[in-house]
Amino acid sequence: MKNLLNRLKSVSLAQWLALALVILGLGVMIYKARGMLEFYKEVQYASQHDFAAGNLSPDLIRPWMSLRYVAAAFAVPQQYLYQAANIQPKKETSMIAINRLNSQMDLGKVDGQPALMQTLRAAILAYRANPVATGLLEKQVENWMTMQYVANSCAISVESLFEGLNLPAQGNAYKPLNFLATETDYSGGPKALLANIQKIVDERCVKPAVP
Amino acid sequence: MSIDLTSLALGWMAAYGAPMVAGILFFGGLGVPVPGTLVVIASGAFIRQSLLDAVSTPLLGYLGTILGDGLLFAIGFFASHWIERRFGATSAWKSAQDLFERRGGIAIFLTRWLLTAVALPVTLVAGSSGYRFRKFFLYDLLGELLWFVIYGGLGYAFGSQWELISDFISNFSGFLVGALALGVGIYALVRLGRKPVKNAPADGSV
Repeated sequence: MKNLLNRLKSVSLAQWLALALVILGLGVMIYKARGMLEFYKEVQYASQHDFAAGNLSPDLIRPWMSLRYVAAAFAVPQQYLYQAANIQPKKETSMIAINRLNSQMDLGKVDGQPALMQTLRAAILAYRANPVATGLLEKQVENWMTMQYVANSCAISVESLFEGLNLPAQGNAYKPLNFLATETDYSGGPKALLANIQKIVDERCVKPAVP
Repeated sequence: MSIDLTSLALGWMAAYGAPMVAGILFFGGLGVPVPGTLVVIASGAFIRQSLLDAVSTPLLGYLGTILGDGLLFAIGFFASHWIERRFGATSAWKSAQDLFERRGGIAIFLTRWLLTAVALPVTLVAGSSGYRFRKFFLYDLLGELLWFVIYGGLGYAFGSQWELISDFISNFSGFLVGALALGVGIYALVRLGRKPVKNAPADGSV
């Protein structure tokens, strides 16, 4: 014991500081590695559940998803989700993650998850039980949207959309439009596809309930 | 409603566009604790989603960052007189200056895009240690360019899932800073262990 005390006394301040740096470095590395592991799990989760396949279970919603992502993946108009969650439609609220939006709105947690996730799940189920065509809140067709999203928002059948664009419907309804244009080698690329869908939307889409 | 700094920054970006991105990154370069990397990733995602302009956002953002870094360097430079008076005569300060002159470029370059958490002290040390501004500027330009291309590109690629990749990058960058601290700590322990300790008994028995 005495030897140990003497040994500790002989350690200089610089050595203690270096030791503290080692411990701090290790602590930070372990903490951050856990965060990276979470990312890996989320990527695995996304690849296990093919989000481009459509007809997803609302239980698959994750806290990192944005409202826009949920709207496209589940083909529920953003307008409907905004109203169901009582959120003011803004550019940025569409793009930020559910957990951040949940914190901003002080909604707290339910079963350890952001309460907003529960609200959105309920909204998706309600929409599926009773679909409502809200029109395109965004006013114009954008590259993140899917054919099914446009069809549902505008009350146009997705089959007629594909027919009008001369594209195969099989397996393509839930692909973001820019990917769809690239994958199908659409003449004129994503811009032409968006423009052609916009023409159909301008002719046949219901008008947004709220401007 | 509770709004944190990050949410505020994102809201301002969406509302005011490229000039706001430039302003946030300018203050970030100056050392104001704004989430710079997150802003760059979000800019990429917002450009992808047509919320921000694809030309003016990266250009103004890059300009804002470089100006912020340059001004921080200048602050370090003007503070150097005080530092010189206080520590200039010490051998530790002189050896730190020599070391920064020899290895500073790589430190400046890496802290612009990889070890961003320690960019602030490195810029201040560069300014206050008499490191040449032209060299600093060159490494700063290259490093920040890489920062924009990699992180902005990831935001663009991930689109509406950008918050997921942002968390990963934050953790990865923190992991590297932890590894750096660990490495420096081990190096210091080894170096100090080789030197005779002043208050150890002369015969070596403890």
